[in-house]
Amino acid sequence: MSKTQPYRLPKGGRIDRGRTISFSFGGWAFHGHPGDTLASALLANGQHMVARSFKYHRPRGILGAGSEDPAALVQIGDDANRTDPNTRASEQEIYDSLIARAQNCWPTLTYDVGAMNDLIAPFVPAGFYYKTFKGPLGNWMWFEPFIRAAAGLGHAPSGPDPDRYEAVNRHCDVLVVGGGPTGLMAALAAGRAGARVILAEETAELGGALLSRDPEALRLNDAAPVEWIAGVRAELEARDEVTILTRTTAFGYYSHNFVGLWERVTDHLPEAERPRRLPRQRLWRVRAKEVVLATGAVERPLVFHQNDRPGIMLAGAVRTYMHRYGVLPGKRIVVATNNDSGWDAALDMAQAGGEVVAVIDLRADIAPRHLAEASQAGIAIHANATIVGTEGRHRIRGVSVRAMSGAAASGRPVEIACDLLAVAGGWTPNAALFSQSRGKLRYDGAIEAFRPGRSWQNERSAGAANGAFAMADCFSEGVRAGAQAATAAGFDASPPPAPRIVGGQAGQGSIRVVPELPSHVAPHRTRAFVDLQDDVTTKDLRLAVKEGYSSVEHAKRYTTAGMGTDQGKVANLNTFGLLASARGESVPAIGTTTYRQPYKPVTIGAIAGQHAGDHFAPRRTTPMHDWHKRQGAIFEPVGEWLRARAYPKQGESFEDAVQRESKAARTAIGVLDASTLGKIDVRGPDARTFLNRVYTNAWMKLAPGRCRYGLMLGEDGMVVDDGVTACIADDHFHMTTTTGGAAGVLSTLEDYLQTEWPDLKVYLTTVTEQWAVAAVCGPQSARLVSELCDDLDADPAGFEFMTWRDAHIGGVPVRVFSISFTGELSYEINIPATYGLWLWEQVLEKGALHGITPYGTEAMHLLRAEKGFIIVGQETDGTVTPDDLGLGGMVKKSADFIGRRSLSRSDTARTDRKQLVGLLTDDPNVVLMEGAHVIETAAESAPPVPMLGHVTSSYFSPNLDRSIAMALVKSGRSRMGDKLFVSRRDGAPIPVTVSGTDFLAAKDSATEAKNG
Amino acid sequence: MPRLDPGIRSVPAGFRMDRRIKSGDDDIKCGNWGRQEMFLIRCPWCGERDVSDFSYGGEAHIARPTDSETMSDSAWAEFVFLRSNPKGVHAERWNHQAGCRRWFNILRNTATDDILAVYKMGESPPEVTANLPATPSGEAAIGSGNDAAKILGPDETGGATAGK
Repeated sequence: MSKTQPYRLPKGGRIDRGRTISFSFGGWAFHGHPGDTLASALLANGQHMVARSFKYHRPRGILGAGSEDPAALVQIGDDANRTDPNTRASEQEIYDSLIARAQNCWPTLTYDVGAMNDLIAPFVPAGFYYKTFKGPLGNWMWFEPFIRAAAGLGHAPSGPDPDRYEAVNRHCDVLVVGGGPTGLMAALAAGRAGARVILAEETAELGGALLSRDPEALRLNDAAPVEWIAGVRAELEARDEVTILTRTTAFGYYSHNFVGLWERVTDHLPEAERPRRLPRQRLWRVRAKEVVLATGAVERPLVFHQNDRPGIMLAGAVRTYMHRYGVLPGKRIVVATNNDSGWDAALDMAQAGGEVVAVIDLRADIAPRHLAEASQAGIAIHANATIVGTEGRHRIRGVSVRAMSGAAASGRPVEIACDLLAVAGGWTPNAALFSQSRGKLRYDGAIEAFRPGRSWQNERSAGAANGAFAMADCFSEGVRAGAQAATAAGFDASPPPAPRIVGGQAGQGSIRVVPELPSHVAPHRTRAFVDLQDDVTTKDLRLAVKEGYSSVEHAKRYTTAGMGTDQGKVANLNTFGLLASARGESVPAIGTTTYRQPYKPVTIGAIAGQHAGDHFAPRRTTPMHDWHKRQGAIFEPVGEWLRARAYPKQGESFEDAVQRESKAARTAIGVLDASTLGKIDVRGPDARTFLNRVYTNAWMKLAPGRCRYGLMLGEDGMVVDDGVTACIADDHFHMTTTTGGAAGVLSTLEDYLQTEWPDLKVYLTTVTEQWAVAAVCGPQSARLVSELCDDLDADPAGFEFMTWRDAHIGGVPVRVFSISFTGELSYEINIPATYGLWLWEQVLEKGALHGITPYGTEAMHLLRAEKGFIIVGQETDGTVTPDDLGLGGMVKKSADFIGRRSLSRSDTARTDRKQLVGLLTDDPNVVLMEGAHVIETAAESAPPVPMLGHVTSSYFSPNLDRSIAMALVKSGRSRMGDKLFVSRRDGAPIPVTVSGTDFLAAKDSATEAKNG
Repeated sequence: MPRLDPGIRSVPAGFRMDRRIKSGDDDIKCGNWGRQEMFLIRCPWCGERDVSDFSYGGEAHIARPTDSETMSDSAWAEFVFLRSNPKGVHAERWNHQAGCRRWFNILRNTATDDILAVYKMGESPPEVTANLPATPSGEAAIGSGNDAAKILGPDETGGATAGK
């Protein structure tokens, strides 16, 4: 491509002409200047067509100049992990070696195979996708892959995002959204009052619409617009309490004046120049006392036959390209309008050197000033006329024009050649944030559009966002809104004077809205697009109404109008107009669709902020963690904790390690880091009563020095936690919970104490992290514990099971609990956490003589399953009662406890509930899959297969030398010895025999029987 | 469906001590409208904090029965499983989980997320006024897709915009 940029104006624009930037689009090299967007640089090079449409793959050009543009979406970057799809060319700033590609086309933008979709358009009407659901069976199955492949936008990055993002919280007195004339005045007014102000501007530069005006023709306080803007900016920057954010979009307005701002911090810089200290993007979570919405207005296109060609642009956008970017995107220009703003634009283009060949106005009655100015500029005037068709495949070549009414309305259209068609369909106040804040819109007949009506939260709209399109009104409303906001936030505001304007512009004047312009082509052959991104035509909308989807919300979903990534910013009001006319009603009578957050797509990275990778969630580690790491432990997350799962030796597989560790813990001695168990210190004169109310079993008689296993239920009678609690003193207990359940149990217990039983004198303190725990297990454990302790003989003859003792190890006080989660002789040594690693090393050092083996959580799971002990969350899932687990004996009769009444509800008291049983496979070497379904028959019947339950735990037991499993099975306890089957994905169901859950005891009694 | 009056509505003290009592014609169904909880809550012990400090604890003033043994299955099930879920004023429990860990009650207008009152455990709900959005049909105002929730009627007045 040439370096000449043939559509670049000789002067003007906020670009740096001293430097030329080279970038690529679709594999071609282009040139632009710093300050250009991708769209302005492409337009400077004469490249209008940048994309293919979603459904029909029709050529799509650049319609707008900012975030409102519907269809000029491109893929940015060629790094597979960094590439950004669906980026508006009109928002992406160019930088050296920027790479952009067209989306939704193959093999290239110009020769796109998918464009054949356009040929079958007559067969793909509104709701086609949904209709395939209802058609003959199999229709959808047949169409679906084709639809999915053909319809599409950009490609998501394929790997983890290498960039850094951050989220920050801010409180402010006044948040001003929009840095145009209104927003600048509002920020100034609020800033001078001393309020803490945040001013958020979506684009790279403050000024808004002021930058889209001929700088020679406009004077603010006798200064050029950019000088005036610089002055305001300087004053705002000088105020400590004012924060100016550019490249920042307010995307969501939530409850209690919470507004989300999305700042693109480094996206405009070449990758090599992005400072490492800065995040790529930043999310500002702003809580504002008061908000000023100065979000401007969005121009609407006109709806006529063939209105979707590249080279058809919004008239206001053309002015932005001219004055902000120094680009006039056509040489031979036609302007079509339905209001005064089109005439201002036409004259502007003519003054910039464009050959404006015609202005076509739907209105018959045109202000004499415009007529005079146009005649003087040599522009042909077509009043009471419309465009009835256009020509040009990849860029507009000409328009056909005909009268709206009268004799000429049925005659031959006049053809006018052009390379740019600027359309001005009237301005829509940008009320997206206002609506998100739950304000009510009002339909304003004078502008034929909705504008903010009644506020709900502490915000006010001003300027064009409020339907005030004249520049003078924007300034004055901005001043007023800023001062009002500051006053409401508790400041004494003296509003600054609005600048004196010379050459400012009036509003759009009278407007003639025609939902669908007439054409010389037969109605069934017209293609008048309402939504350019989603390829929704007037025909689709009329069909939707005809088929009964007459509510705007239904028609939107049926036709997908306004459902693209642009959310119909330019399309929605035209959609409502068409639906209203198809229903024979007015726009206010049919209403609007609902504005929802986000205003425009926000990257997931920005929303996640710092909470990615290792920072996604807190990670807790035990005092012994470094030792586990040094031993090459495999870790698993349990709740927030990272626990050692197994300690494979060099060359040993995980499975082999688990088998070795499990064997050692039962035959010699093993040690487990049990520090993560939840520990709650329960104190107070009523501690015993309290425990009696929260556990299913009885606690009134547990003597100091003794321990007891407890089950905790929800009020629905289902098991929620379990653990051993030790009585330290009559008014002092040491409760343990599951690792994952600790925080939840503490919360629930505090809830009951504060709200249900405030009369109980009980104090709860979490001591999980105060104690480190080494659980030693195995026949040799008593000896080891005795050797470790200065002052404890751990022999079970004297140190009874389910009791605890104070002792010392090397002078350090410890609590030793004689409790077991494996069924084996076992002790849990609790030591103040700072001694945790030391204790662990002591245990291993002294245990080495006995052949001690550290074991991880997987071996722990296996060992407890051999004994038939449950794990809450594995054997239980919130639908399991104590009786279902075979623990009905732990339910006391004497007093109330949480969930008690639920146990006698008709459903919980059923005897045919799923009950926990053991399953032994016929083939001892087959290990069942956890979660697999238990069924009655050797072969699966036709679906739905009646299911008896599911496998909850399954292991190969090295101590029993066979596979073992536990399962919840319907009426399981009454089916001991029955032959059942466990289904699997590949192959016939596996035959199993129902057994008890204590596999160890079964083995011991079998051995006894054999020997006896 | 009774017509829902627009504007200010008075809620008597203790109105929801028994949640089977429907407060006047406020018997309207609640739709799921994807609420984003972004509240600012004034903890009665610590002051105003962001919602991320707090956890929600469901409907307030549902005392745990002390006579559960003599209750019917359905009465007990109502305590365990059923909550009123009104569109309008809702007394609910919150816990300042990341702060003082105290439980307290608030009155919240679920249609608007206005927090109308904050009060301590054991206290009765204060008398509040709730601004319920009005719809001509009496249909739920927000979450229904009813345009009256989004646009002003011809005879409704606006307010609080800086405009004309």
